[in-house]
Amino acid sequence: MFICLKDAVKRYGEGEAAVYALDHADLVIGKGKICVILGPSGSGKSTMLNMLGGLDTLDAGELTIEGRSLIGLTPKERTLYRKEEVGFVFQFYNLIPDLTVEENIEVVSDISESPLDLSEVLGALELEPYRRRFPRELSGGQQQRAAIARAMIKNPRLLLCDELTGALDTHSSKNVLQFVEMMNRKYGTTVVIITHNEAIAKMADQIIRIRDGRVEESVFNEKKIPAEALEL
Amino acid sequence: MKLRRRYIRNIRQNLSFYIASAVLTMAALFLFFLFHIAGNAILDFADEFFEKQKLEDAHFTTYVPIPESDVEEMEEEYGITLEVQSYINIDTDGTTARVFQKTRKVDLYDVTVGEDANEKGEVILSEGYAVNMDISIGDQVRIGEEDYTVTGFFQRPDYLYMLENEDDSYKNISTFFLAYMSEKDFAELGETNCQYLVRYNGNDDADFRRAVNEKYHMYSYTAAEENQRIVMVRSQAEMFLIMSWMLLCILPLVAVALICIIINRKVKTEQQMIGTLSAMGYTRAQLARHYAGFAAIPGIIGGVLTSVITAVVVQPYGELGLTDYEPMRISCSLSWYAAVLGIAVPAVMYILAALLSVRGLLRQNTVLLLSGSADEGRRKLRRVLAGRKLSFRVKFAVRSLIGSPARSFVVFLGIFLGSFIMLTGFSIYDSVRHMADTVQEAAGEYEYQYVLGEPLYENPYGGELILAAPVEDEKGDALTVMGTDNEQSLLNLTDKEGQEISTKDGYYITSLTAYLCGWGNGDRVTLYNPLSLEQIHIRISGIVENDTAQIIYTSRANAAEMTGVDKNAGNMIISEERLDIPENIVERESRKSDLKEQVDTIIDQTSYMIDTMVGLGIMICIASVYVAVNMLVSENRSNISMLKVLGYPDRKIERIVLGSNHVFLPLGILMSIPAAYAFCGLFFRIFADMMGMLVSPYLELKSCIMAAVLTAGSYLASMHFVGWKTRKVDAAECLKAQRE
Repeated sequence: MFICLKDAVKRYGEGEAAVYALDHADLVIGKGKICVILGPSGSGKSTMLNMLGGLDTLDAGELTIEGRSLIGLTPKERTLYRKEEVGFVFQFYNLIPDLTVEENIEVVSDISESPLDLSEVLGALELEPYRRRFPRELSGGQQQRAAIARAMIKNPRLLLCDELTGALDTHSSKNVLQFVEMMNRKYGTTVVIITHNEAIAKMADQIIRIRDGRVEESVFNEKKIPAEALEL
Repeated sequence: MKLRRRYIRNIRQNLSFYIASAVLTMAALFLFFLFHIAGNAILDFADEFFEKQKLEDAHFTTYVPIPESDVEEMEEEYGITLEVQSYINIDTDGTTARVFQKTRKVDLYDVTVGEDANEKGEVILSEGYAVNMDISIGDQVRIGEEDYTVTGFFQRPDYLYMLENEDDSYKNISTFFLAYMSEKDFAELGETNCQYLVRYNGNDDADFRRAVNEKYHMYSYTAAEENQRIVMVRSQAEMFLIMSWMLLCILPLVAVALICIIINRKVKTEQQMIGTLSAMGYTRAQLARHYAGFAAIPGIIGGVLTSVITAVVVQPYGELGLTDYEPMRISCSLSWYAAVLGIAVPAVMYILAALLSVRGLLRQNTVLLLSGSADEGRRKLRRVLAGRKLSFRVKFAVRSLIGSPARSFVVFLGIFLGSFIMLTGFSIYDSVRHMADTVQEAAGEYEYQYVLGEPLYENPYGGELILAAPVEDEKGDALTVMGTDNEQSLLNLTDKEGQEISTKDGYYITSLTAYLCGWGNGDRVTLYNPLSLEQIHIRISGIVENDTAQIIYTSRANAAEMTGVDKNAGNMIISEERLDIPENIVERESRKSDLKEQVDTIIDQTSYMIDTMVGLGIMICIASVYVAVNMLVSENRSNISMLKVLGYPDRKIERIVLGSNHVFLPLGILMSIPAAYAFCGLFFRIFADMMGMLVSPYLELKSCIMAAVLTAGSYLASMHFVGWKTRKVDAAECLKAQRE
């Protein structure tokens, strides 16, 4: 058991106007697995991801990552947690526009204790030819691969992907997912992908469905297929 | 850190912002630097020159000459340095030469060009006159009946401001000069005048002055602090220094505040980036350092520009401020610590602004930063007028203005500040010009003034006989007491309500005296006769409206009692018509209209300062409006692109996006008028003591219109530059940027 979320509550607003983004949600994710969290808009997927990434805190409940509780961490400790353990990939890449691909990746390797070799990561994600290009000079898929490279350079134990194919076409989406799969395989990184695209779930080891802030279903995918075979 | 690579690229991408911010920083600091350096340079020069040339503490004349042996005795007894100074005024073709006998102990002259005059037929001249009249070494000058060869030019510490007479208000270097010649030549000039120069060497002057008055009967006494030829140098320096501090309080603070606001907004526009970096594990300190670097750039560039330009222009600019004086060899240079401070202070301020912004943002939830909604609270303001039946343009304009109050404030402040600086320059100009008329009115209804060389007990010449004499207040500051017996005095004495005042009733002080001495109606004040140092107590009966001179008006008998002369005596005649008074009893004749000419000359001499202020006002206006509106375009890129996609032509888009700011143009200009007026009033109040008059702030309609036109021109120019940037926004690229 790598991630354990128990009776998690996250509420926005007060009194009658309060909205429960997480409403006593429970979740367990195994180490080194690819987990896809599915759910419609407003179901609490992003909130769940924020909690796992230490970007936000729970109002109630428990959250442990490999036995270490994230509850009660100070903002400084949460920053340290993110720096050492977590890699983020966002829907709109969030690359720094005035830095090249290589430099965007180095922004993270700069603060990492034992980063992976830059060329190795660039090679793995087939970004070598684009390493000196600026984000605006790349396609969406290439930008997202750069974002994955940036997340992976520190060799995180947990890779959190927020709608990572949401802004990409089918071909680019499949390509990006293949790289995520490869990273998981190569570095043993636990990957959590949140998406509302059901098709992506087929490449996952574990599929979790969320609705109205509750985990509706959590199943292990017996019929896992490689990303290459996905029909997006 | 790799993040640092953003700096250079960001400067390249936002070059105009950095240039405008740096220019704004420079414009704000530049005047402070100039005035401060010039002021200190003058003070340094004066201190050194006065000490080296043994400047007098006072000079005086007596009815009974002091024998040489008594001079030495008094020097020993009172611990002073006393020296006789012989001189003679010689008129030659309308030009007066004041030839001095050389002194050895006090008021030593300094030969600044050429050689001293030691041989027969040689002369050295005061440098200001020589330069003004284009006289060279070796030229011949005629003094009286003799021709002399000019061997050099000199400066004298008590004549750095070349007033022919002590109570003149403006220099004369065209028909008046000082000269020294050999002892032999001087002895041949004929009967000379005599005055005594004294240095107290830190000892008390009162006993000495009393002793001189008792034994030799003091005829006149002028302390160095009351001698305008000496005081004007320090006054000029102090005026520069006070100006510099006043400017420092206004310009840099406002400009720095303005740029701080812009930096704050720029940081906020990067909130998604900050959120991303925070999500990747960057600590607060690392992020704060990164953004502090961005903020330091305009401060450092502005500071370096200021230092470089100041270093280049400070010497000629400082000398320009001394055109009224003898050519003083001041050395204006930018000290290393001033340069460092000039660079460090704005940079530190901007860094602090960035740090505060980043700190404020990092207090927000990282999730909100990532979604770009960390300042959601403010965004609520952008929802105003929702549901109202108004055109979208109106709603867009209103929301743009109130939804981004800081940005709106920056635009307003830029316009206000530019207009304010220009108007302040114009107001100083208008006020001084207006003062020329006021001085004439305040002086009274006479046109001719005759200062007599000896007292007159009966007046057979016509006009109004007045007794004018100096008195000192408890601080030692000089005032003039004027006694007149005329019921309908040509001095035209009226109070604030315009009621005529009769001097028979008591002692009336001018409003300037009331302001500078802090006296009021009914106060009992102590004065001193400067010759005998006797105490005089008077009760103030009223205040005469006159802000241009420190005078106590009373009856001639009262004035005579105060100054210890015969009660029928008078020493000045004023008249509406020219009078036929024998030349031998007239020490000086002047016309009231001379005052206006003097003021005109002062205005001409100070016009460079006003031109500088107007130029800086334009620069500040363009730069600040540019950075603010540039910010507006950057923040509205998605709206601009969307309007382009929808088919709006560029001109229309400019009107929609930029037009909302036009409201600030009249507002900024209108608010700057009372502000400049008030500032000008404060400026003249601070300088009242120094100038010897309280100039009322005045602003002509013409100046207001000119400032408004210049401000509007500057605003439109910056709008034009930014409009070009709006046209450069590519619809597709911008929409893509928003999506990503």
